[in-house]
Amino acid sequence: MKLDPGFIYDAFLQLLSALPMTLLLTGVPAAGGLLIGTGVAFIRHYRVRGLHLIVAGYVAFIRGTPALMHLFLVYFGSPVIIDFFARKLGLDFNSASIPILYYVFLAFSLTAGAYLSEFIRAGLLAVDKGQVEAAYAVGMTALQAFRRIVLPQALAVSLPNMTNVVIGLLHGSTLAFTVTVLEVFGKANIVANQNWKYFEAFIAAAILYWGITILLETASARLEKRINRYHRGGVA
Amino acid sequence: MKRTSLILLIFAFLGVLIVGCGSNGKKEGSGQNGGASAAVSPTAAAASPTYKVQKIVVGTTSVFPNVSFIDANGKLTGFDVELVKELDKRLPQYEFEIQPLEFSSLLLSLETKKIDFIAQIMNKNPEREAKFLFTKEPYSYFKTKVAVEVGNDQIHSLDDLRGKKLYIGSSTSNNAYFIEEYNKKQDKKVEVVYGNGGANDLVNLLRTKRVDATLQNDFSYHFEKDADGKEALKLVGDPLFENGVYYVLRKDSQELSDKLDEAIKAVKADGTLSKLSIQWLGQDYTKSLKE
Repeated sequence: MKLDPGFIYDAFLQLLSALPMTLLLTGVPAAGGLLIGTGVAFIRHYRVRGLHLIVAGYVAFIRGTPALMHLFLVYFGSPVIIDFFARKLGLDFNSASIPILYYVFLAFSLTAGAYLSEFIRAGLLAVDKGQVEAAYAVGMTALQAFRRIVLPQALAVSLPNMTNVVIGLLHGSTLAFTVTVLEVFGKANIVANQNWKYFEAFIAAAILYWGITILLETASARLEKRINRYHRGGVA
Repeated sequence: MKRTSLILLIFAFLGVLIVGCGSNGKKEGSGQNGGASAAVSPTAAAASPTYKVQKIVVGTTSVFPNVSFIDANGKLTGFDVELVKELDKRLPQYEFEIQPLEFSSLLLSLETKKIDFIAQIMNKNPEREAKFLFTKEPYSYFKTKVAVEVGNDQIHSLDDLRGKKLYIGSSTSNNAYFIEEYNKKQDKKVEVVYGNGGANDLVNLLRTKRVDATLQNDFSYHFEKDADGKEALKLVGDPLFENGVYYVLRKDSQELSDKLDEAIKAVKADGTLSKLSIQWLGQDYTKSLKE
């Protein structure tokens, strides 16, 4: 097997054109997942009546099935549901006018939400109940106790795992090419189509993914340091 | 500081790995030449009845309807698969074993010697010929045309597609190249939507107007069915280009390539190839436009 290092470089430059899509496929589901995950974690932590069983089912289902399947379920399933309700309500609306990218955002957000909810919940559980009682004892309201006592500590516990989820989303974004959303890995397949130098193109893609991952890890490490400051003592 | 040097170290390691791969390849290459000349002896001995049978692994995919696919009985079959079996019968010095793989890993598997040649209606171009060896005798010719949904009467040629969306699969041999060359000459370009076919929803993409057309071979468009099992595509316009199809081998396999060419000529001459083409592809595609 012979490598063409020159083509690794060429491929790398060509892959950059697909990088914004990959970042979008990471960032949007990360934000969407954080919203869903936070909601789910609170519902489960405070055992909101009726709802907490439903969201527990959601978490169990998503964590029990592969991300590619979530993508296909949303991609094939939601047009059917949307068109059904559009007909029922007599709306002049066709699901085909929704860009495929939105389905991918939704699917990946649902995937990330389930995992994130568990990490957020773990953070909430990590804060000793006695601390909250102590907060009440010194006259804090429930909101104050949460914002000033629970949240800073819960966040510090959850952060490393949350970084993991974001990195997972970055790597999982390669699945989007199955539904014609062109991201870095899909582009790697295309740039190699002409001369069949697939290995070189995949190496270029690997370097790109690794590079972004290192940036994410560095950012997370800095944030972790900042967020863990309370450990040094003193009052927040 | 410590962290940065660790990362640098890892990258340096990766660099060594890549360079190592490259130089290894060269060494292996020269070693392989020796291997190839050694492999001559069994074939030279083929004249006498006591030759040694050499095992050859043939790579193909399992997702191309009627070409190489899994049939209702779970058996790998199709035009390419059955042709390879036919050639195997005519080449007693070789024993072919067919290995279905994913398209992009076919070529890597060939390079890393997990398989010995590829049978997957492959087209050639000069860049590919620089990297791989192709058989000389094409075993079929396919004409590529614009394909649209059956009910579409707006698009009659490639030129009608300018400003519209054209679906191109990432694992099709020459379509992506053709359309990129075409676009270079146009002011108003055809918008290309790439996919790897992973969701198997080409017909749905066309029907919901997410894309307006795709490129298909003159035989393969029959295989795109709608939910009712009816043919969902039709071809429009003149053929855009014609491709001969070949087997793909490593550069060190000239011997095997020559034997395959001989066998292809033989199945062409006695009509077996035409018969297989009609059986699997619905028509005799073994002659070029010129013939």
